[in-house]
Amino acid sequence: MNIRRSPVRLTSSRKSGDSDLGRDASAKRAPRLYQAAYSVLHHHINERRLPSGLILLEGRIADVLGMSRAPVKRALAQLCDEGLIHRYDGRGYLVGPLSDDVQPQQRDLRDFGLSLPESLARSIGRFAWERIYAEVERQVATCIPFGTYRVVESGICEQYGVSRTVAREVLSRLRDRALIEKDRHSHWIAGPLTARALTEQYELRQLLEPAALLAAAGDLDRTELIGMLDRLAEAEADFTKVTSETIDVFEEDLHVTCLSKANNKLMVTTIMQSQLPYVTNSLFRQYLGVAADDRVLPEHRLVLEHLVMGAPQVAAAALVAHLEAAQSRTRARLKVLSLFPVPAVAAYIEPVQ
Amino acid sequence: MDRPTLRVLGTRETLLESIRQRAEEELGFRIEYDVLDGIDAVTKAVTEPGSYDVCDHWHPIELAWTARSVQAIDIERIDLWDEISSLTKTGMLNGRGRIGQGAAPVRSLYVQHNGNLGGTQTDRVSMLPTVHNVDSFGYDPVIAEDIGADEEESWSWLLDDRWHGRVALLLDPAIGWIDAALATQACGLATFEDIGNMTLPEIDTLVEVLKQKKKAGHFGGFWNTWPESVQLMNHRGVVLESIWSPAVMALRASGRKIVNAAPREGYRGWHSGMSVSARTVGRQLDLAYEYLNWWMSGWAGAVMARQGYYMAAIEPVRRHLSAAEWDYWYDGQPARCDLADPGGQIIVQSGEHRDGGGYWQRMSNVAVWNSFMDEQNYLVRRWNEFLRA
Repeated sequence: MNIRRSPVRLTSSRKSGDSDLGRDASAKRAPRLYQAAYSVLHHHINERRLPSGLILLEGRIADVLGMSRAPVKRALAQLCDEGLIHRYDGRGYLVGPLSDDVQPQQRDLRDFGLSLPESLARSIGRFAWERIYAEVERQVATCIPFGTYRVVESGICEQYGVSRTVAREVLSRLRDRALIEKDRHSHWIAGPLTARALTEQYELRQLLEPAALLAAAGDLDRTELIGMLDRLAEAEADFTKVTSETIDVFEEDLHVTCLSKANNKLMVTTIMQSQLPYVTNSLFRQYLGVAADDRVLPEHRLVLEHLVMGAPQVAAAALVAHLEAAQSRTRARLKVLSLFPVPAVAAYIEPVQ
Repeated sequence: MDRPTLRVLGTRETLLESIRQRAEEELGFRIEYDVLDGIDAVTKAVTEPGSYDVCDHWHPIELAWTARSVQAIDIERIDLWDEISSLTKTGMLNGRGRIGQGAAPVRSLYVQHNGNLGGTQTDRVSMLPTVHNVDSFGYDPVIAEDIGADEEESWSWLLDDRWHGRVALLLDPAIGWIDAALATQACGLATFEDIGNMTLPEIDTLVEVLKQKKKAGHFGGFWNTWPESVQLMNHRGVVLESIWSPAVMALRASGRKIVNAAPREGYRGWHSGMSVSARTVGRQLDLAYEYLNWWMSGWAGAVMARQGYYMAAIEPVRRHLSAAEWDYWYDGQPARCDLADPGGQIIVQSGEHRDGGGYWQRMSNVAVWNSFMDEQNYLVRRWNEFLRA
């Protein structure tokens, strides 16, 4: 099963309908993905569309461009060699040449129109579903706390100018993430996101994640773990700089990067199907900011510190404690969402009475 | 230099102009009231902590705390903390009665060491407990002829066909829902394990019952603010409805002797409190504590008593009420003279009893407290579906 591993994110500010996502790409083979990434970043920096000091993170760019991290990593290294971007004492790179005056800025890259031009998308042969998946997922995740919705296949085709085959591919991947399911009329249904569904997913995660962590512990890269701890320490030292995207990074560090090292792929896949906690927390942060997330940091740190110390059993116990606290927080946050009216969603998402 | 200004967010039930003026006179700083309707006030308290210093409202504290919109209150800085009754501290008055289902204030009053709210006593609280009461429904005595001689008042009357088309409900889903659930259970149409925290199937059951009733034309109206409930009784032919104490008093002031029922199943309880915005610091924070302490000192509580509300610190209120007022409003005794509302209008005639009895009797009979349930988000969406049906 080819399942996305990044947690659901709602951090894009792009509205549905103003996407520049194009028609089906022809499946021409073009193996040099890193050149496409390099080209689009180079173009945006040269045109001054990306401001000096903007933080460039490998994973985030990979998400936006719909490719894996490896080509993005190579593209960033090349841009750094050329002096267009530079490393700093945080994670990733900053746009512009090395300078003492530059202040790091954390913003959503899509705010600056970063996307893969149609011609490049075609030339690298990226599957058409990949180009629209993140946006459709974001739309679905945004609506499910507010009721039951039907996701209309033909509407996706119309909105993004893609074929039925592409729309079906997207829908089947949403089903793999347990974000939609078919009803008895074979309609794709999303939601409602309830406290009971959240509890079920947390109970599953409390059983599986410690087991996955123990299975992964021997294969975790100590340097990578220390890098994760450094990021947490930096955020704890000055919580005012923490954004919703920073929290996404922490979630991915622990719950995806670490756990994915487990050999039992079925276990990992099952864990990654529990996306409702991410949906709830991401939406809560969108409405109310990150102030209530300060407790996530020490909880994550406790797990990672014990992994670095070579005490995986204690790390697993700390992970259980974190998931229990997170469950209580997330259920409380779902209650807060009761105050908000139904947000505008894409035309292919229809409310079901 | 301008006098400092304290910004207070709340609802019309407690943010009375007479209280604001008196507080300004006695405290020496300016006080601005931001008066909103129920859910609007909760939403603002949760989402806009920068817009107020003090939030005075019925129990949105759990949501505001989750959003980190309010800060913990230091008990050491509350002068009359020891005067606050055990209702919020332990859940019961004088150790008797029942705590009631749902969000009883004691369950979320104290800030626990892990940062969550709970009932274990600590030196910090999420809100300063203030005004509270029990609610039920009110009815026009004209329906007395429909009621059997031995028939006890019951929440089931809200769904009773005898008053088809002449019943009104409260729109606010955190309150109206509970009235509807109590009514449905009292009618025997469903059984709910915990009305203060209903499950998904229970929510679905209740919505179906209500939709059928609505489609059949059972409800003669819905209200959002208590003046609207007065209008429904006065001009829209409603004879029985969810009701709040100020509406009962207003109807009495207009000459209609509305009965505030004491349902055999128990009341729906609510408890207001004052919370301080997470953004309020320095001198503003000092002003906030001064305002909180002033509210506890009795004068404001006496005004609240005259519209049928109780205060968490009772003895200071007693010192500001006449003996006749105390006996009627708190002690459940017949009025020994005519009594006036906060505006000076006579609303209680000599010899009348308060419906449901005295403070200890009424507050010890809470079936369920106003609550934001675990499935509140789902509940609200389904409640809106019922209202659209």
